[in-house]
Formats: sequence, C-alpha cells, structure tokens
Amino acid sequence: MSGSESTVNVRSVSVGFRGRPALDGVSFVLRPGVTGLLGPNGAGKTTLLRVLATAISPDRGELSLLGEDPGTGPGKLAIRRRLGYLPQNPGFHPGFTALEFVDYVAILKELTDRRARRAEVLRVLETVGLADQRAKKIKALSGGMRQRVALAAAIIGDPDLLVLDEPTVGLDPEQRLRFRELVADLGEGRTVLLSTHQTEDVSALCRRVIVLDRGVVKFQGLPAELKAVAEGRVWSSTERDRTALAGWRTGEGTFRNIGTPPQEARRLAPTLEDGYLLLLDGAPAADQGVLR
Amino acid sequence: MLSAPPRTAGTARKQSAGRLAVALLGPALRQTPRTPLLLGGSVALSTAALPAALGAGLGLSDAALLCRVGAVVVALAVGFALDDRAARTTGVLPVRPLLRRVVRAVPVLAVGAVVWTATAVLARAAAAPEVRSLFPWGGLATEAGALTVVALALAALGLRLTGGEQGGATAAPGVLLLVIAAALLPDRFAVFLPPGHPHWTGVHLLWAGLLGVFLTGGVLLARTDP
Amino acid sequence: MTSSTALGGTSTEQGRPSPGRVVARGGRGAVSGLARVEAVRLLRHPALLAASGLYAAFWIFDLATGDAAHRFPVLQDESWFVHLPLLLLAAGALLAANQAALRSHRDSTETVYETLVVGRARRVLAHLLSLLPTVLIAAVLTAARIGYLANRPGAVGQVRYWDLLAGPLCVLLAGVIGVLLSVFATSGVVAPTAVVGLGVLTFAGALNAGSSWRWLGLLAFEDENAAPLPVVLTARPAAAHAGWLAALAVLLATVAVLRSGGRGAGLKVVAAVAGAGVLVTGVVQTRGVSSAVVERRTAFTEHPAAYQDCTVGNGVTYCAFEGFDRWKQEWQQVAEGVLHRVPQDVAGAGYTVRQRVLPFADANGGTALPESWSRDDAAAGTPGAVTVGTDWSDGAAAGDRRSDAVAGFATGFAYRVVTGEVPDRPRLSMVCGARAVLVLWLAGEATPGTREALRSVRDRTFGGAISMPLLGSAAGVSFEPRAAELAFALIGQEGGRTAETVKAAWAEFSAHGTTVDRAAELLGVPAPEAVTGNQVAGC
Repeated sequence: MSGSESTVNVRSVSVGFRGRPALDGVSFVLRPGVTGLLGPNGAGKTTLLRVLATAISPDRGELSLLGEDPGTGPGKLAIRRRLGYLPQNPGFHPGFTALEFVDYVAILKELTDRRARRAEVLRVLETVGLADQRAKKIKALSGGMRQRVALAAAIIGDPDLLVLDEPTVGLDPEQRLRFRELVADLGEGRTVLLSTHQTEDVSALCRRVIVLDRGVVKFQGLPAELKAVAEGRVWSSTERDRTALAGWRTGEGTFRNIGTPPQEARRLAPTLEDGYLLLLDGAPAADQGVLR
Repeated sequence: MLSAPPRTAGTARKQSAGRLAVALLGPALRQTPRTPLLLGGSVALSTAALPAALGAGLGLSDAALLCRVGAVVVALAVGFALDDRAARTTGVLPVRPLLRRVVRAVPVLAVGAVVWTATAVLARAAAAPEVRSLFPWGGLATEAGALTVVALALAALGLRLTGGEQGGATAAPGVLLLVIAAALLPDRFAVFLPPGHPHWTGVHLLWAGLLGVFLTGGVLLARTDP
Repeated sequence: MTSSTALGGTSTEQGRPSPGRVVARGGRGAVSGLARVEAVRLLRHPALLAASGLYAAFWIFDLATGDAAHRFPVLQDESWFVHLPLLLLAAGALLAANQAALRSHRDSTETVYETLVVGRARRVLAHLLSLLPTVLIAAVLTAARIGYLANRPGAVGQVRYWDLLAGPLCVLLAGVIGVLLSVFATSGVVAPTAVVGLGVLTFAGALNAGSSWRWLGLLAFEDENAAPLPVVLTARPAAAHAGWLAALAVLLATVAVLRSGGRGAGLKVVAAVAGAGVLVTGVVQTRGVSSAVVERRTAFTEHPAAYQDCTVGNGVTYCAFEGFDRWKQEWQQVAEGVLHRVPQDVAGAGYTVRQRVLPFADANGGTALPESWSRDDAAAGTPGAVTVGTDWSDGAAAGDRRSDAVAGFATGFAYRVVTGEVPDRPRLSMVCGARAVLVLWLAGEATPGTREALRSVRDRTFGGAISMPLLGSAAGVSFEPRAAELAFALIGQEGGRTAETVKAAWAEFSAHGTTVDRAAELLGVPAPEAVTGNQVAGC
C-alpha cells in the first residue's frame, strides 16, 4: 500500500441517537500514518470511531474502509479481518491471564492455526512489553498494563487499520511515552486513527489531525496548520485579561491568553493546543481545566 | 469563571449506626435488585396459585413442595441483594461494610418475606381441606429462613471473590446446587421431609443449626471489605 | 533490512513491523477453536465443578457405606434412575453455560467483540459446541455408573441403552437452555430461576408418575412405590424421549444462533427439521402404554408360568422371569433358612417359589389377586407356589419397598411351610396363635437379611397387626400382635433351643388352634401380656 493511497473515505456521514445528531455530514480521508482526532467531550469522536470500527452503521453518507464497503456483509467481514479497535473503556475478563485474553481475541479474529496464533500472541505481548506478565490474571494487572493488554488485543493479526479511542487515558508519563513510541511504529505502513484529548500526543505522533466538534469536522490538515490557527493570537499578561477568549495562570505566575491580543501585548509562540482551543471558538471543554 | 467552593468543617462527623442505616435505606431501596424479586416472585406465586385456583386438594407433601419452591426463589433473589457495582467507591467510605450490607439486604429480605408468606398461604390453600390445619408453618419457615441465610452467606463469599461487586454470581448457583443435592439425599439422610414425618422435629433442629452456622459465617465474611 | 523498534518489534524496509503476517483462516476453524477454549473454561467453571463434586460425593458415599441400595439392582430401572444425580450436572451445565455466554456482557468486552470477525452468532454457536465435552463426561459417568451396577453380583435385568442416552442429553439440553437464555436476557438471575422452573417440572412429573405428559420434562420418573417389571413389560418410550431431548436441544440451539444474528438457509432448515422432530417425538413419547404391552402385562400377570424358567435346588423349584435368574440363589437361601428349622418330612414336602408381577395394582392396596394364579400353578404342576416379587435386598438399608419384598417372601414361604397354604383370599389372611409365632420366627431366622427386613416392618407398624400385603395387593398375611411380639422376642436369640423345641413340637405349634400362651409355654418363655378388650379381628 503506497503512502499516498487513501485507505478510509468518509463522505457526508451522519449518525443520530434518539433524534439527536452525533455526527452530522462528516467527511474526511485517511491515508497510512497516524491521524489524530481531537474534540471536546460529546463531540462525536467515539461515535465516529465506532462507525470506522464497523460497530455502528451510519444513517446517511458513504463510507469506504480499506477499499471495502462496510454496509455489506462480505465487506464488513473483509474490513474486520484487517481492523484493530481499542475502545475508550475496553473491558477485560478478570479471570483470564493476559495471554488467554489476547489469544481469545485472536480466535475471534479468525486466527485459527494454533501454532501461528500462539506465535502472534506472544509477538504482540512482546510488542506492548507484557511478555513477562503474560501468565498473570488480568485482575492482578495495573491499569496501565490492562491498557497495554487491550492494545495487544487491538494489534493482533497485524491489522491495516487501527482505530484507537483515547488509548493514553490513565497512563503515567513513562507509559504514555512508550505508548507513543509504539503507536508511531504501528503507524508505519498502517492507517491509525487516534482519538485523544491530549494535544501533546497529536503533536508527537500525528501526520494529520482532524478536529470534531458537535458532530461536525471543524478542521482537517497538518498539525502545523492547526497550530498556525493561533499564530499571533496568543499573548502573555501579568493580570487576567478579560478580553481574552480563554486564559490561564501558568507556572511562572503570568497569564497565557488566547484570542485577539491587545496592540501592546507580548505575543507568544502558539502551540497545537492554542490552535485547537481557538478553533473551538474559545469554548473548550471545562474538563481541560481552562478558565474562561 | 469557575471557582472552588469554600471548604466546610464538620461534615464528616461520626454518625450513629442507626442514623446512618436510616440515611442509607433510601439509596438501598433504589438499588434493590428488582429482576430477581420480580422473576422469582412470579415463579413462586404462579406455581402455588395454579393448584390453589384449580382446587387441586393436594396432600401436605405437595403443598410443602410448593412452599419450598417459594423458599428457593426467595433465597435466589436475596443472593443478589449484596451486589454492589459501586464497591470500588463505597469500599473506601467510612461506613462499616457490615452496616452497608445489612441495609442493602433489609429491603430484599422484607419483600422476600412477603413473597414467601404469600406463596405459603397459596400452598396451604392448594392443600386438601382436611389437612390444611396440619400445614407445618414453623418447619417450612425455618427451612426458608435457613436457605435465605445460606444465600446471604454465599453472596458474602462471592463479594470477597469479586472485589465486593458480584455476590449473586456465587450465591445463586451455590444455593441451587445445594438444594438439588439435598433433594437427592438418600431417605435416611433426607432434609426435605414430608410433613408429619417422624424425624420432622429433629431435622428442623438441624435446619435451625444450619441457619445459625451460616448466619455466623455470613456476618464474618460481610463485616470487612475484600 | 530490518530495524529494531522502541518496544522490541522489528520494521521492514518500508518501516512496517513484520510479524510474519498471520492469516485469518475464518469459517469453521474459528468457531471450533473458540469452542475448544470455551469447553475448557466450562469444565473449569465453579458451578460445573461443584455439581460434579456433589455427583461424585453421592457415589463415593454409596460406596463407602456398602451401597446397600444398589446391591440388587434391576438394570432396566437403573437405566433411567441413574440420571437422577445427573440432574446436578445438568443444573451445573445450565448455570455455567449461561454465565460463560454472558461473560462478554458482564465484563463489558462486547464493545470490542462486536467489531471482530467472529460475530455474535458464531460465538453463540461456539458456546453451544463447547457443551459437548461436558455431555461426553456425563455419558462417561453414566456408562461408568451403569457398568458398576451391571457388574454387581446381585444385578438382574437388562440395560436399556435409550434410557441411558437420556441423561447426557438432559445435560446437553440444560446447557443449550443456559446459552439460549443468555441470548434473550442478560440478567444473571434468569438462569437460576430457569433451573427452579425445570426442577418444579421434574418434581411435578415425579409426583404424577403415571401421566404421559411427564415425558415432556427432562427426566420421566416411574412410580417409586411400584416394583420393577421384567424388561419385556417395560413401556418407557426411551428412544422417542432421547429423540425429543436431542431434537429440542437442536431446535433451541438454532433459535439461539438465529436470534443472535445467525443467517443462512441451512440453519433454518436445521431449525425446521428439529422442530418437526420435537413435534413427532413429543407425540410419540406421550402416547402412553401400547395395547400390545398392556396385553403382554396381562398375560405375564395372570399366567406367569408360561414365561418363566424354573430351576430345582434341594427339592425346591424356583421359577423366575427372564433376566431374574440370578436372584434364585437369594430366594434359595431364604427358603433353605426356613426349611432348615422344620422337621425333615415338612422340609421335604416339595415347594415351588414363583416370581409374579402385579403391574395394575393401585397405590392404595385395593387390588385383588388374579384368580388365575392357582389354575396356572396347577397347570404347571406346581400347586401352592409361593409368590416372590421383582424387588430384592439384603436387609432394610435399600429402602422400604425392597425391604418389604424380602420380608414378604420370607413370611410367605414360612406360611406355606407351616400351613400348607398360600394366601389366596381377596383380603389379608389373619395368622393367629402359635402358627403366627412360628411363621414369623421361621421367616426372621431364615437369613440376617430377612431378620433385618422383618424388624424394619415391625418398626414401621404403629398399633394393630403386622401385615404383609402380597405385591402391594389387598391379599397377603397379617399377624396377631401378641404372636408377633413373642416371635420378635425369639428371633435372633443365641442357641438352638427354640429350633429344637419347634421341631419336637411341630404338630402342636403348627396346629390351627394352638394359642400364643401355649406356644410360650412350650418354649419356656413368658407369654406377652394380653391386651384386655382388644380382640384382634380374625383370631
């Protein structure tokens, strides 16, 4: 698969729940490499990821995954054979060992040759750094280890399309770093869509980024382009600036503001997060700790 | 702008167990497992109501069997009373685990008692008129009480195995297998005796002993979190 | 060229990790692979382990206590009775299969599983297939149990293979119900309640052992108070029942797969065929006893001599239905135990023991003996044949029915020896005075088993006379209470003084008018106290 070929084509996809639109005419294209999906809570990220994971069918729109149509039975099956999905809150069977759980998922991915399956299970456990813990019951593993078990289950069978829904939640900084390394590796030759609240993850990992807000794609492009949205619109002040769209006290005691800076303001170099916040029109999610 | 609420003092004063129990009763009622009670109650009452409505004129043994069905389904329902999906949160709160669990069990026990009594009344009504006065309320109530306590004790054991969350998954199969095994015991060791059996009193002393043993075991298991 | 990745993987020239791509084979392989994993987990499930443990405990307890209940098994009856403890395994299979099938719901893994290649229907199919090793274990346990019983020295009759098959099929059906319930309801209480429902159905069937609808339950009981029948007289539609259980299991299994999203014409065809099978076998198994079997039962009841094989041992002829030959030696021990204590001329008078059945006897004991018996005996050249039934034991530990069979035969034989008659009146024949003492004493001294059986009858008699109804009919013998009291005082006494006295004064002891007081006087023992104003009817 060449790097320029599109592997996921989403055109005007809409999904509604009880009359409320979760996705509203979403369109984008994915190519091999890691794409970040940003958006506040309730933006529709998980719904979009579940559409791409073939768990739910769109109400309207066209969808092509890995060249197949998930709307048909054979198409869906063909996609699932090449798909890896890590949901936001992956469940586990606490009585299974890590090896048993990943092996179980491998069978559900139709890896039926016992010897090859065993080797593949050991490979993915090695890949996520759990080879030594494989015989431990999942209930005895830490949260970070469980997350790695879930990633191992997602990447078993070497899928061409990986859909990862907030995989770094609950990981400590070191684990997150290892995770990033792993996802970066997985992005080589595969299409990875990574949903996250962490703009640092996107900066570190993603070739492209999509911002979703209230079911609508607000942005798609390069991380640098998202960052550029905030070019000249970030400034520092010694006191809270009431004109700012958003502002917060930094560790140095000054305020970092985004919006339309006053003439005399000391401008700062923008980050991806600044661009993301501005894109959301200065109305970011409260859970990101931004005081308005 | 968001601002932090002012800190309050004295909100976590030690409360008396009685006050706490009353305060917890409301949430406990909302969390009462309704499906087991509804399903079990329906099975027990309909099983007993049918022969009663048909005027079957059953013998005492058959009427006792209907009553025992009620006891088993009530025990099954009670087995789910201690399930606590929020155990990870409630487990770190200062309320004593035993008090928390007793309060959870009380509403289910109360409904269970009503269901069993209604089943027993129907079972008695299904018996032939000439034997109704011999209906052994005391013995059958002892069996029902013992089965209920066995279910609670097994549920408390199940909580210890599942991080305080799912006692019913242990209690329900446990109660059932024990009841089936007891029903299959040879005649000389039978514990589900027909009313009027010469060993009725002796066997019901055994049931009462069983109740005591499992009550003690259940309290020991339920007084601490896993 | 490969390069090491940060977490130890390798990259290809294009930078993509090269795991040596594992090919998804798909199809049946995944289902069978999953079924294998689930089967192992099912066998390790606590509910199934506990059920198996309890099953084993019953067997071990039996063995440890000498297994008196099964020392003289009638194999055609044991062929279905062997399933009773297997219901534990069936309950365990239902609960374990339900919990296994609900695991993904309980542990919230469904969000991932629903995006995997093997969909819900195939997972359900795998859960259904995972039951097979458990069913196999049930079959092995059944085979082991019936093999053990068939090899007991006292075993008679014939193993009924269709009946045997029903046990493992019950386990299969229960497991299928467990999986099916998981498809319809995710609550963990539904399966235990279903077990209660099935239990109620099974008990209701046991309480109505004569009904034909009982065959629609898991296990069709027979009347526990009825004696076994020779194998040719049994009328259990075991093959149809096995077919019904299998067809129902397949039907419910296909419903579970279809309900969970299974598609395909083949599946629907299987469901339709299984549904038809359920209907056909359901009708066949509830048709009741055929007229041919009823006729055969009548013939065997009224003219048993025509269907029996007779053997002579020490001057006594023993006639048994086919399959019961092994018990002739048990009867012979009792007969010789009686004859050993009577004068030689009496012992050598020539007796016949004939096995009989009364399949139409009602539970209240109101059935009369067939009048044809005396004619049949006369025609066979064995007048006054003593009746023995189709139950046996070596004491009281095998339950009242088998114990009473031993006591009934021993007293019946002693009665024949003492009086020269067999009880052929339509109601109980009252035995009074010294005759009653003699009959009961001879019967009680015949073997340790007859002594235990007689004491068991006495212990269960509250006031009034001790009675021995013949094969549960209205006829038989009944003993004057004072005579019985004296007899039981003599039974089991050390020394041979009583035997010598009896032999010496046989004529007086066996005479019609000799009283209990006189018998006590002859024996040199105190007579039991007379109960004033309580004259026993018939004496």
